[in-house]
Amino acid sequence: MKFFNQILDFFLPRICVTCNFPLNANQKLLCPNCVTQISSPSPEVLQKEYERKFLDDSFVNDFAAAFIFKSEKAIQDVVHSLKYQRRFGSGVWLGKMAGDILQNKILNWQADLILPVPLHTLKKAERGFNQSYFIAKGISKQLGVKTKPGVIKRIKFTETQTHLNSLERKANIRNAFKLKKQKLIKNKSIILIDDVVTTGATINECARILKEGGALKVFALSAALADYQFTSSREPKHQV
Amino acid sequence: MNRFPVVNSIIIFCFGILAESYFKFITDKTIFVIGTLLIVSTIIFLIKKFPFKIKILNPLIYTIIFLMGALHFGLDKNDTVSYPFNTARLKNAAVFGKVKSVELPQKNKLKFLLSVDSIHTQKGKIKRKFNLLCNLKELSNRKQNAILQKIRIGNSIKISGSIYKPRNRRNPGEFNYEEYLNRNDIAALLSFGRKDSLSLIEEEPNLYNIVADARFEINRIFKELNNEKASGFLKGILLADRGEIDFSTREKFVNAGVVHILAVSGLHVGFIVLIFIVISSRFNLYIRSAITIIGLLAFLIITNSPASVVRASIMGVTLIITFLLNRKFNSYNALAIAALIILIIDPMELFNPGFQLSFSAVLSIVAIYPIFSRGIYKFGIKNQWINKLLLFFSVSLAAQIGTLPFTILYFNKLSIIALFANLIVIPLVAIIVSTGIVTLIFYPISKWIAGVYAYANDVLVSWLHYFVNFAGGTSISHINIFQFSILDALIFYTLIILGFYLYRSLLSPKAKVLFIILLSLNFALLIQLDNSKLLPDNKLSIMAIDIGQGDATLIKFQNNQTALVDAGNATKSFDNGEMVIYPLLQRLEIDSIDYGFITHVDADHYRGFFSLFKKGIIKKLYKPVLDRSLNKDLRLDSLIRAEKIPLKYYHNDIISFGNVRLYVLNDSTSLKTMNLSTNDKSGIFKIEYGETSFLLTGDAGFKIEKYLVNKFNKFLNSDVLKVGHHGSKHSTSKGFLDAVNPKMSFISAGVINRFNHPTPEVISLLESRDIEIHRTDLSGAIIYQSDGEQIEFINWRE
Repeated sequence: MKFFNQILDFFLPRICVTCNFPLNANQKLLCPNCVTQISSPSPEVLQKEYERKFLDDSFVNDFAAAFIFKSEKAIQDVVHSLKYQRRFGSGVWLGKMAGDILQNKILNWQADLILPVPLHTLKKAERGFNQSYFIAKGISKQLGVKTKPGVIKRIKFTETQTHLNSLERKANIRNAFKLKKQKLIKNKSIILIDDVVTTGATINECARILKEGGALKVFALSAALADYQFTSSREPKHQV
Repeated sequence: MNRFPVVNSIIIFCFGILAESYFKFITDKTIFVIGTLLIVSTIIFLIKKFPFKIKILNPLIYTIIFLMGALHFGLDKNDTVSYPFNTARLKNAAVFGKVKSVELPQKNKLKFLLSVDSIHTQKGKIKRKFNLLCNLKELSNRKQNAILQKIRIGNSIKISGSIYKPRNRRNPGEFNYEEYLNRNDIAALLSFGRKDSLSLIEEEPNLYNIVADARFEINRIFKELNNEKASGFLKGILLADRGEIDFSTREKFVNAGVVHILAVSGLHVGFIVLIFIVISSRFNLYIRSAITIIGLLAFLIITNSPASVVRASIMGVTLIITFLLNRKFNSYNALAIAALIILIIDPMELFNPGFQLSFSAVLSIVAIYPIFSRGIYKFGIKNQWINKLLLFFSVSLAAQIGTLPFTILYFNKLSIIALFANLIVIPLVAIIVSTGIVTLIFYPISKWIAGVYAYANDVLVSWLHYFVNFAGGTSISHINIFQFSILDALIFYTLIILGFYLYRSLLSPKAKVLFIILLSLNFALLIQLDNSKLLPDNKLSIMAIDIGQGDATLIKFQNNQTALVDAGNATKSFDNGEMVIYPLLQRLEIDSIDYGFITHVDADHYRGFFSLFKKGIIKKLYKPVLDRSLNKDLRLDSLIRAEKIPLKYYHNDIISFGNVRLYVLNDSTSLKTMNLSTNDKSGIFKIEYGETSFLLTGDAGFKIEKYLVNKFNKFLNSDVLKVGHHGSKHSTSKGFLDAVNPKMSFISAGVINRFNHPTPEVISLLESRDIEIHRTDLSGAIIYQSDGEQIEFINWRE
């Protein structure tokens, strides 16, 4: 496999997502230098964010995030490569990293199923895949919890939410989801995965649907955590 | 670039090919050199603690790649084909062989490639293996269908016809058809007349028939649903068969700078990818990628894989695979992979115009477009549409810059309106291509719906033609550039690269403008360094143009005035005026002919003039006195008057061109000459420049020769004689030759003409007097130059 990778690297060399430094066959996505720059939010920050984003609605039982989005350029580049350069492998990588970093916390939740926050069919057709699904897959591979796509469906097409504030987002996302496979979640503990959590509105709405459908507990997990004041999102130009 | 080993490798590989093509240094021993180098580098690679491992290994590996490129080309070059017989034509031959490939049928025409096994002629059986391109013309529909059934790929057949050598470069700057065919492994041509027959010997199933059938079927559907123009065009852009797009249409596309549309280019592959991605958008990632790759491969096979499609398809597949493997796509790298695959399959592709145009276009788009787009964003134009328009322009401009040297080299034209024309043509062609594909998809479902789309396409294609005719039909659409060499192309690229590097380092806008002006001035000067005129100013040049059987002699006088004595024949299938003389004049940068001379009214002397009249380049015309008993003469006369060209009949004339004098030796009042045949009424010209002189006698026979000798005697004495009547046995008498007493002579005759010109008698007569002979049928165009003291024979092939 390594040999195969080396041959592929000759024809299609891989470079670090952030600093464009060539990678060797053992490295993935980020070069060692950039990997060392990644840091995770402390338990205090997570607790505070949980209280601020999810406690009011009380659908979500606990929250965890592996990385901080804004301050970490490396993670931002990884997420952008996933969403805008359509490199779904970045999702799996993020999931595995998250599973590794948050291992204790997630295992403590004793969840039965990992569900990615779904994309609207149109959005999915445009991007080609649901990025959260690949993060879920990564975590699932790392920790051995099952994941299943298509349990919830997004029925309302919402434009990008980046320019909306917390309240507007909440109103915007209302009734956007529908539960498709109720049997699978009844009396189960569920982990909801999103790539980036900003205000938590989307996850809250999903959690509401799940709880109303009979889920026992719902946990929220995001690869990266972003503050609600965060405004980025001009799509980076990528070569086609 | 260090990050992409394939990019480095392919550049070095190309240099290897180029080096071998120029210096031919590859021998049998090169392979041992490569072997040794390989072993050495493997050993160094395997020793873990070798000092300066990378520093030594890198140059070693690059040397190996360089040598491999050279070796690959050297080995490939060894088996080049050439015409396998001594005689230029083998009449009534029966050829046995296997059908290799069949071109799409055209109206009453068929073309297929035969892998010959043996040939039977009257003299006996010849066993020779080569590829023969069979041209079947003037077929009835029924016969065409019957033959199509027999010539399926793989079948063994017997075909009768005459085998002939393809036309090579006959005149300076002309396209070398023979070389082109030889490069494509075709050694000879076969013409199939009405009396010839084709019979099937043995059928053999062959997988290629599936592709051929698919192509035939698509062609048939377009023929059935679309009108002639649209089906010819669709055939060109979807099946890469330009057989039904005629010469003048193509020229207009060249003038408008949109000829890349006619070749199935990467652009079409882009459309195909887009169409498949849209069709399969509902499926998951892997299925979607697989469908798109399969679609690309199908398109590649259907188009018979020209270089541009192969390139674009490989790039497309690379894009999909990098996506699936979660690697970052890099255009340079994908381009390099495409080049590597194409050149490993066939290193000769490096010299294929299609390959060169395709790669230079993409390379410069990839390299230059980002610079332009950054510049456009810097302007900060608010209007989205204007921005998009500018970006579109810059893609076009980038492609134009990159392909410029190649387009000038191959088309001798620089289109001025290309940027604007592309703006309209590219979207239009995108719609035509997709409508064409939709037509094909709907055909099996509902002919009616397919027909509606086809009708829409007819309209779109006619719009396209209308626009291109309008844009490319004007003379201001393009500049003709004939003096452009490979050296100029190298200068161009060097300056462009240098320009971009320096441009970035200059900060003040004034400096940038100044820099660009200086750079373009430099370019204008540099490309003129190696320019030289074939027919120089300040000299008298006489050139026998090779127009096959017939006469056409171009004279450029010392004062830059020009004359054309005869213009060869023009038939329905081949017009010498349009196809040979006019392009030649353009290449020689001669805009108009000051004096046209029709020696006499015979098809092989005057018909070529018609298209030149139409182009308005003949300023004044001389011809023999009107013979009212001759219908063709009456018609010719009225045509000349209709074109309003000043006309004079031959009669004892002296025309001065600076220091050169042209004497017309005909006497239209002399009954002795006027009662003779048309041939004998030929214009007789003596051209004198200083101490040198030339004599041209048209098709004049013995009687008029005798008359001339009696009348002018010593005055006929000339250095160069254009041997009368293509060297026929009815001309060039001993007495006449005594009077003229030339040192050199030239004969204008077609290769293996049916009159057997020139006759051995005349040749031996000339040889017996030690007169140098040059023949157009043997060596193509003939050029003499005189500076007033000496006459020099010019070998233009050097």
